[in-house]
Amino acid sequence: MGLPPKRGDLILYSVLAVIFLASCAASGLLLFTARGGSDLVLEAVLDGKVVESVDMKSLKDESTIEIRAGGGINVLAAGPGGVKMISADCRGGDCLRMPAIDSNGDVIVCLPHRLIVRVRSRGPAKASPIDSMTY
Amino acid sequence: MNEESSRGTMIRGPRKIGMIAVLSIVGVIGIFLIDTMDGARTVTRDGVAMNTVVSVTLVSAKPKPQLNAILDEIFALIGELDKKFSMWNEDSPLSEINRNAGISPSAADGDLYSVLETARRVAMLTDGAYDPTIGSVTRIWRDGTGEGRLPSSEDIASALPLVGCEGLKLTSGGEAYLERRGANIDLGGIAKGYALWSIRRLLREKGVGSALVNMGGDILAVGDGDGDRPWRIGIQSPSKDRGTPLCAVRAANTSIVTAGVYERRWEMEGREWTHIYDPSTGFPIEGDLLSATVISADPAEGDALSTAFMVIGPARSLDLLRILPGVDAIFVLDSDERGMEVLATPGVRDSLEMFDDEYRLTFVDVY
Repeated sequence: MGLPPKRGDLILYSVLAVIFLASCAASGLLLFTARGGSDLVLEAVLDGKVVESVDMKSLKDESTIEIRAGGGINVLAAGPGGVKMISADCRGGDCLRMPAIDSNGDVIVCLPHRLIVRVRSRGPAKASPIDSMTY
Repeated sequence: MNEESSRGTMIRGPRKIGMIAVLSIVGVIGIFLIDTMDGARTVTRDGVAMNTVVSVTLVSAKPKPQLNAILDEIFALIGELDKKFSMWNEDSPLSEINRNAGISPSAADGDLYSVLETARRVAMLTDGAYDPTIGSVTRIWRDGTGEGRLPSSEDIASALPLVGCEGLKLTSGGEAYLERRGANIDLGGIAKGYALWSIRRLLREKGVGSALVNMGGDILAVGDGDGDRPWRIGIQSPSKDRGTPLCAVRAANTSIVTAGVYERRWEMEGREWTHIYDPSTGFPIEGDLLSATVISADPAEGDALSTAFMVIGPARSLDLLRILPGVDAIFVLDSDERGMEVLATPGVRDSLEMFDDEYRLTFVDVY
């Protein structure tokens, strides 16, 4: 039969246990934030970098977002059908004719300004039957 | 009590504490490793390159910083190819070849030479239905529409004799020469496909075995899926919003490229025009064929073939497919006689799935 643990041992065990549990909690949080949740976020992407990011839930009808990109200005507006480009000083104005976006994977593109506006899920994308579109 | 047990009793406390400390650290490290090494991770980057939207998804067990570095290389590669292949950039090596048409050969580096070789081969294979020397025609249309007018018949008639791949010479010394003065090469119908081919080579070098690249609708599928299921590629419905699939195919280690009349349509003088030109007439194509999708191992060839198929229509395309083993195609038509129809080659019979009942699906035997 062993000797009872000393007071110092107990303190050390407790400290190690706290560190271990804290690490587990941090890891769990990391795993959850990396893979959990399903909120949609509206992102403006310029040259591969996200320059604007807005929670879709925070967008109220008729709220607008102005994005300065590629030497010009694009204005997005939220409405009942989703988010639409309502103003752009680009050549051609193709982005103004693109449909409103509201679902994960939807995009509006302004090629002259090299701007992509997309809806993305914060968590894992809902299992979609389609990985990519050819057109 | 022997010596060992006596020593064990004496140092039992510190040894146990040490073991617990080591096990705790191992446990904590293990938990973090679960997050970083639990098989494949997926990284995606969207950007604009070659005047189109590019989306690259990599699926790999490599660390995220390494995957991000590979994404950087991919986008840099596309940028380099764009600089070489653009006929609208006066400083590009292609513009140099165009400027020296009828004057002297110009140097064509590895990529430029390679894409011209493929372009020339497909032009000959399709009897000029796809032709990279269409540049003199596309330039006239661009200049005209830029001034808000259609090009005159005289302008087009003067450009047509400059079209024809027999006038493009590639020397064994890595030079390209357009024999006819005023001729122009336009790689718009093959550049994206060649970029996909180059990206696939880069991914092989980097050891990425699973990836999906979409360059303005031209798809490269590397590997057989994301680990859970095969890649599934939707084919755009001609009459619905962008992103609405008419049908889908499963894809593994292949490329899927579509040319469609619904893309980049524009209006002038009371009618709509497409961006696909018939090299034999110098005018944008018309007809019942709404889109042609080519599924093939070589994305550059597939890109050029999809344009050619739009020009020659499904009947002649199917004849051509008989001599192109390993190349499959899906045609979407809307004609007065047959209505809305999807024609597909048998190679996609097991992987094609229809989503729109308005279209009738027919498989055509080309083997």
